[in-house]
Amino acid sequence: MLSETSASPKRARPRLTVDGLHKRFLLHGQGGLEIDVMRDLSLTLDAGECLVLAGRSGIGKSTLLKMLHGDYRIDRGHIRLHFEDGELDLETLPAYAWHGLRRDVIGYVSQFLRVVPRVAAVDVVMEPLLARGADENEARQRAETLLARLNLPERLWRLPPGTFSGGEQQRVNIARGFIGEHPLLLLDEPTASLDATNRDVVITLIGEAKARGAAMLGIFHDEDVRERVADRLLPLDDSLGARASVTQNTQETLS
Amino acid sequence: MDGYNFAYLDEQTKRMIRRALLKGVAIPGYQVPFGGREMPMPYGWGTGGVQLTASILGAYDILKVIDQGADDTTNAVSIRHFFQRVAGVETTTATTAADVIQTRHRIPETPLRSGQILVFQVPIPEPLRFIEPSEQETRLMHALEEYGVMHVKLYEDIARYGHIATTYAYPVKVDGRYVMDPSPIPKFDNPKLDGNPALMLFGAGREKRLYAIPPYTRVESLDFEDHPFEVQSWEHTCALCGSDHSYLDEVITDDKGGRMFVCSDTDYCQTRRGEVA
Amino acid sequence: MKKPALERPVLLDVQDITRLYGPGKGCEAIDFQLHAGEVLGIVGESGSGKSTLLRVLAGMEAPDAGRVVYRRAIHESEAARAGAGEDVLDKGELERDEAELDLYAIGEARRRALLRLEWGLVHQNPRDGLRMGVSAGANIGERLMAQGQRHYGQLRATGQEWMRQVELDPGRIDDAPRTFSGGMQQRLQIARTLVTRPRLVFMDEPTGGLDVSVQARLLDMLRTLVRQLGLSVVLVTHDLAVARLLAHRLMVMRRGQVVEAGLTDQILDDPQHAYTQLLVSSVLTP
Repeated sequence: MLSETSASPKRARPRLTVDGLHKRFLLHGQGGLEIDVMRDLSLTLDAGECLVLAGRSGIGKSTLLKMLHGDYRIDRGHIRLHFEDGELDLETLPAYAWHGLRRDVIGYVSQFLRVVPRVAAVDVVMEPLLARGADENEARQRAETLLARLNLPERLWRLPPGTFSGGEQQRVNIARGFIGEHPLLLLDEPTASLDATNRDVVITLIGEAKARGAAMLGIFHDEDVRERVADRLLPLDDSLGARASVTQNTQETLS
Repeated sequence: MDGYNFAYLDEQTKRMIRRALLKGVAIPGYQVPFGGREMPMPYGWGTGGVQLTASILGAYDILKVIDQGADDTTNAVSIRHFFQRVAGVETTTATTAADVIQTRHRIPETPLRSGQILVFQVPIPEPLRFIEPSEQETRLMHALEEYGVMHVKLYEDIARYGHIATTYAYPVKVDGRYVMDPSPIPKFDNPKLDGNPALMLFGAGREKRLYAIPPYTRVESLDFEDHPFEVQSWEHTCALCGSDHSYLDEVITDDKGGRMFVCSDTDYCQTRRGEVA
Repeated sequence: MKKPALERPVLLDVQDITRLYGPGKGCEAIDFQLHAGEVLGIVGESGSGKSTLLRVLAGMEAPDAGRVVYRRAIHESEAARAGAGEDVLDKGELERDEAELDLYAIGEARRRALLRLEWGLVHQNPRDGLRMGVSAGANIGERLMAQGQRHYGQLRATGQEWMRQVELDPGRIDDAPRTFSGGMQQRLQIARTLVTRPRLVFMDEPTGGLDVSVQARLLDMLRTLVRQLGLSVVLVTHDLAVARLLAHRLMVMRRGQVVEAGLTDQILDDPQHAYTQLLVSSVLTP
């Protein structure tokens, strides 16, 4: 992943640049209310680096991750991925091209697990590998290794996670997010409902991802975790994000 | 016979039917619609076959009529009498002596020769009817050679009975193209359809369809590679002529369970007995 | 790392399709492309025209205007598809070297051959897609027999294999579909459709009318099959949850027109059009 011939591995070429990003929600159901949740945001993310988004709740941290993952439309600005042999502009990427991009390049650990009901946890975790055509036994082994590392009791592996506790579901979600070893990982509070032991496991996983050159953009509310994983902090404030008086009404209040 | 045209049908009708027959011969196995006439007998008694016979019969032709192989059953006798009266043609029971043979449910055991015409009476001409009630759709299926469903039926036979249980009206493919219902002949007779030197014509009176197999045409019975087409066989031989390779009827001889097996083809049986004697 | 190969060949090119039964009834000026390996969901309420559009796309009803073009050229990315090596089109009904087929210009014979050999259709009501009078095995085997398979033992083995694949008891291969439950019938219909490994499958509310618990199992099965067989799918559904789990991309229809189209997550999480916003916000979440 990371160019090994690079003289300074810490300042390798950027993996991701965001330039002048804007996001506005227009709510037709509320008389055409317009809410600006992001204004002119720019950032650079290198391979092997974890950049942590900081700022108060509702400032647009999750919005940024969702725009990077294609969940939210990019209204204005540029999101650019950098590869050895060229660049890719996400704001002009046709919808069909996102399927492969998400499969192979951009991974996402969201706060909530969204899967087909009644599918076993281990199958949920291995799916990203199967999607790439991986051998089923190999994928299963890797999924089980990850679930074991995350201390998910083995009796739960064959059960669908629908009935799991919040922390258990989150660990399934983390395993599913990390198994694909995507070169760009978006982490939306992966440690939110974990105990100290499992938080440590996630921090180790993030360290391993860095070591293999993955670039990560994350949201961590836990100060301790943030300090241990962040190479840099990107504080979002009202000049970049939304005004508090407006965000109270947006879909962003959840984050 | 006064008041009737030769062979009952008027010449216009005969010409129309002959044109349809020519088309049928040109497209072996293809069902040609024709303007069927009311005949002085009910549907189911061979009105399709009778109209075809009437259209091709010449004054000097010798006619044989069989029903289930026999010359002496009601249906055979009444049709033979009909043509004796309305055409005045000579009739026979000898397969070898006949120019035209009208038949219901059998092909004679005695091999036919070039120049003979066999006319079949057909109740339901459409082999796809069992699965597809729409005439428009079945015609399209024929046109497009969509015959997968024919094997669905045979598959179902094997799944249910362990073998292809269809024993009569066994579907065939004519000249590698059209799937055809050979009329309710026993599948024992199917091999006789293949490469037969005689011209074979099929007439369905109720449905007003006719079709044909020209002489020496390839006719295959549908089957599976691992369940090949097979004809019936009997442990018995004919009680009258001793034949071990003809189609046998089981005849109950008394009310004490007595029975015997005899050739269904009466002419064949009698001829053999004559030869043996 | 190298730039990923994101290009996918266009499989179905839908150009300006209009089919109207009356003003606002049917579908109007529909334009989109389906790429190989994509699952495209068409969502909308009843009367939105999504079913009419599906009928036109699936070759069942000619449009008033527009073209449906199927690009069947064998692309490299597709050549790798598991089990897709054998070409079933040996009947000459569709010439192999033909790269583009205009669905309503090729004539009925070739259109029907295409539907039978390379496409598949899963009806909402399994009774519309199954032969209720013949056994499960005969139902699964029909498309194979239509392609010329003539080995009973093999047909039966394939039938049992597919019953296993769709989680039906292979021991029931000789049972008639009418003895199966609704969910089982739907799985049988899917097996019957996919047995010939079609490249393109149309699904009309495939989980509609099923109990919720049965739905989940079917959804998982469909996802797995899509992945394993590398299917491209056009899925019509009114159920946004089903669309979320199955479709990569969505088209939202209203009054015969597409009001919004895009990545599934984008349509459901960041809807732009007033109608889509209304639709998404009206979904009940337990």
